[in-house]
Amino acid sequence: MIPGADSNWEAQLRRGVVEYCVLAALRSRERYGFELARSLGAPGGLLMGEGTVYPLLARLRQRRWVETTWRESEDGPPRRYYRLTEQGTQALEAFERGWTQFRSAVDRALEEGG
Amino acid sequence: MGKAKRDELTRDYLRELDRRLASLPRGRRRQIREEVEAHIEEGCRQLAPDDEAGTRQVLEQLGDPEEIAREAGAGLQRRTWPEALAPLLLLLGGFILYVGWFAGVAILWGSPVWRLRDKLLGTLIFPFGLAGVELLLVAGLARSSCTGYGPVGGRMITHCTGGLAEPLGLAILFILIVAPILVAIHLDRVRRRA
Repeated sequence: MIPGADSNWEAQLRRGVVEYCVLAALRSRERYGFELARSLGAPGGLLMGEGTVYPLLARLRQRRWVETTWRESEDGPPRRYYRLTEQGTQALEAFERGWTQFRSAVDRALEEGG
Repeated sequence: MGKAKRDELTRDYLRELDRRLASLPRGRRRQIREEVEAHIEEGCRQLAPDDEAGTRQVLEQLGDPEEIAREAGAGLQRRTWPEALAPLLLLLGGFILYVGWFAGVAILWGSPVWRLRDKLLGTLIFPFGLAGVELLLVAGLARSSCTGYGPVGGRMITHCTGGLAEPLGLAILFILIVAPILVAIHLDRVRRRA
């Protein structure tokens, strides 16, 4: 959780980008919910509590940016694994391009203002 | 105590989550709920069954159910006005050339605020709402036969038979009118809770 995250611009910014951070976490390999929740929900991370990753995943799945598969686990019940789809990969790439531009535009504006 | 404590904390958490997610469409709600349940199970697997502090920590890291529901967009529907209008349209919309009632039905079935049960209730009791009841009553009256007794003291006296016997008729009339009103109130209450 970001300290002082209840300030409005931060909450809105996070809301806009956190989905893409979930997609990015799936770029290298498929992961299951608990794994994602723990890695993204760590203090200082982007989530407001680990549990909020689940509605995010449900939304990404509905948008067909991720798909799921059940896999057996060695030490418990089967787990639902999430994997990026082709559409999800495209969305992530488009976001990355936009984000890079956005970030340098904001940096420039802040530097020029100072 | 012991194991019961861990299960009790988990049960309370999930119950609160269910309450907060109630306004979501069923599929979405079920997926989130399953995942959260699996998360708790996995988080608590390494813990001793009576480890209350450990269980609390797992739930705390998971976060407030309200926060999860907010991320899921539950409760946002309350702010939209079509849903607020639907119970009224179902009740009285039939008087607007019956069109208003169809609008009410469309809102009712299109909204995730109500469950299937509510949707069926809202549609079937009664079709066209109070306008439907009026139609029924008019049809009922038309079937009853009236006999004129001719003018008595300058007034026309008529006696009507048929239709329904009076106590039973009144009871049915009462149900016909009150039932759709109760259903409308119920639908509005469900909407407010969402």
